[in-house]
Amino acid sequence: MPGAIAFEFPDLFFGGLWLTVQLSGLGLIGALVLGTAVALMRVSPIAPVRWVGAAYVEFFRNTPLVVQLFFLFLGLPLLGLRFASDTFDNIFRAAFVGMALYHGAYVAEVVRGGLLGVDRGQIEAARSLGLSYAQTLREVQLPQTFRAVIPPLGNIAIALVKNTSLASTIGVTDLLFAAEIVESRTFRAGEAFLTATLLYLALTIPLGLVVNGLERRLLVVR
Amino acid sequence: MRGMARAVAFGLAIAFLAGACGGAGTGGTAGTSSPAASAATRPKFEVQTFMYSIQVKGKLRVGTQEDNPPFSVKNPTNSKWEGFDTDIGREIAKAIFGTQGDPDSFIEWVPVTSATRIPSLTDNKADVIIKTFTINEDRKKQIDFSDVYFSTGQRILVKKTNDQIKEVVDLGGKTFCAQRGSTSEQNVTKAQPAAKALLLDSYPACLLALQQGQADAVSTDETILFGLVKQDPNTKIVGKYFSDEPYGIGIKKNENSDRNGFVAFLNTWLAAAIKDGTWGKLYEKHITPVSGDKKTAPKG
Amino acid sequence: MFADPAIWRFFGDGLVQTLALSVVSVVLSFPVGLAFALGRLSSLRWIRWPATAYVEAIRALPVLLLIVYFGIKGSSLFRPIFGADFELPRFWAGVLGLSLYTSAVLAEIIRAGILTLPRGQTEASRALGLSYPQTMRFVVLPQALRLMVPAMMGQLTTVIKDTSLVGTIGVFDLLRQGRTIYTQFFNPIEVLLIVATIYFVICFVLSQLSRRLELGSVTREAKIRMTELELRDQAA
Repeated sequence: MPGAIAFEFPDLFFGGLWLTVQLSGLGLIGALVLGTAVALMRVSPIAPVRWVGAAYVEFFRNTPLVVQLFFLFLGLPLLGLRFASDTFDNIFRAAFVGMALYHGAYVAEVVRGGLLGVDRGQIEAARSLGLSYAQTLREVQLPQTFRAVIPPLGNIAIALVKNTSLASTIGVTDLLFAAEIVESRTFRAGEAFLTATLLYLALTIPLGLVVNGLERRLLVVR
Repeated sequence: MRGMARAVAFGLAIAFLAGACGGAGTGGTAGTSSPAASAATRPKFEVQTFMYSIQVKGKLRVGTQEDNPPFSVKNPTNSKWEGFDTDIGREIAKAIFGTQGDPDSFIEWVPVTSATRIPSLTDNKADVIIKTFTINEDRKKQIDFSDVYFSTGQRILVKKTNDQIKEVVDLGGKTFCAQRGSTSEQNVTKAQPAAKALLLDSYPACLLALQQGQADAVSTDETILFGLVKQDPNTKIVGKYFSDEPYGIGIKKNENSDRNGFVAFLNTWLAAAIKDGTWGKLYEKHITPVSGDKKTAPKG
Repeated sequence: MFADPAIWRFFGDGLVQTLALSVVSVVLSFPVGLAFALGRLSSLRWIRWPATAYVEAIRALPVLLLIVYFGIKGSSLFRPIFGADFELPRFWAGVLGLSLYTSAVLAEIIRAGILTLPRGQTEASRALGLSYPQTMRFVVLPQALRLMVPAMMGQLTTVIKDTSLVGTIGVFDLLRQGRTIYTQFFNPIEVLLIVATIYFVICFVLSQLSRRLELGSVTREAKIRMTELELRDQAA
């Protein structure tokens, strides 16, 4: 039965799967929070704030995630910064931060696009009714942005799940790591990698179907 | 007159053959010379031996690795090969070509990797492979090995200031670093199941982790640890061997008499080199600076 | 240390490998992607379903998994063809992993380009007597490809970033060379910043170029599809 090797090494495969899920979930939340904050920075009327936001987005989208992970894992300690004293907590948190920073840049662009897509007429009407910048943002722009932005965020989430596999390069014992270890012990590469493949597909394919559905429902051509 | 010339020629031929046979002794054993004995004369080998054909060719093809300190390194500044394994190659060349002149002039260095080690022998691209080559049964099916010329095993690398970790059992509850996909990781967890493994994709990365305190130790074959100590002198190697890695010189199997007498020759040479201190001197030159110990023979 | 030109040559060697990997992978992925795009649009179910399954499955996998798999198993896979001693050079194992993933994404990009073209074009060409292959070759594909140029440039940028993953299987690309340097000299911060900057310059220039290269009228539907592909399939 394909994937049966998972039951010979349940700690590795299912433990790895669980770490992948954790990293994906936490990373997504981090990316959403960070990305929304940066998007707000990018539409700020204060120019330096805009520039910082733009610099963040361009830097983290145009450099490879693995470079960022190595920096967080091996570079920061030289500056005295560590995420945890225990090594394994440290690498997990470094991976989480890396996921949030990298995908946060993509989230920022999507949210910014959503904010800018709100009809200017509505914003002007709100302002003329006496709502402040912050109130307009909260009551008019963000709710509409939300609708437009859900499907692209769903796509980012799918990419994020796949990208958690990069955490294995800094020692996180995720699903890909499990496949590599099992292969090195048993030399059964085909089985080990097929199992990892099936488990990744179990995560990404359903997500893909959900996002496809959301796209159909929410992205109505005006 | 003609008859006499022929007789003389015949006589000379017989004398020559007698001299050659007498020199080689019974078929299969090495030439009469040992590096110390014949200072300037070339060793004589029987015509059907592989050593004779190497002499005729004028070159010994030594397969080794370019970046395997302290065993074999190609110095980037002068393209000279340096290291324990390369000096072993030079001693073998001296044993075949004599001690006069630079042994490098009789050697053709063939760079090999772990993947191409065996094929370069079976495809006849190299005469010997001297490259931290562990002897095991699977490999013996494809090629021949000399006797053990270096013995090592897995040990542990820690910071010089670390006095807590002395043996593999001390790794319980501690984090050790090894290369993903290597047998080193399994050897540790077999010996100490409570050890925690940080697996990265190379040993230099493990060294960095050790330096930053993200790992308490690095564990793999002592010979790789030597290279790490060389990089960072603030580390030290501790612990008894907890795996066994005997290195041998790789040679193509003798098929159709194309490697006659070679294995026996190498073994005899090796025994002599150990006995007269040559091996010990090489160990002192290359290994002692990184291991801190002195040895006079591979085993013990 | 950074004043030594030998160090920069070392980086340069890595950069050459990175660019070579990227170009070769993209060149190989293109015909394969095109084939699968057409396969997915086929009216024949026995072509359409396997093509769809292949594309959707590969797209849904991490590219690093594919690269590592070929790094481990690549040689054995080709031994039936090339003989029992065959060793697949690591460069080509990396190319295989990258191409496999990129071909699936390109298949989707090309398919999206074809689907978002106004239908009138296809119908008009068929009415004028052009066969299906001719319609594809002279009418549909040129326009679809032109439409999808930004998406393809985006994918090229992704491929260049993904080449940084081949260091894990022993290919000496730009990042791996950098890692060799910082494990010798213990300066990961400076080296990683240099490496990141080099990647940044290349990718930033490409992304600026692609923004200027939007050719042809881009319908809203096409824009949505392109964004979806860019976000879902960009691998780190």
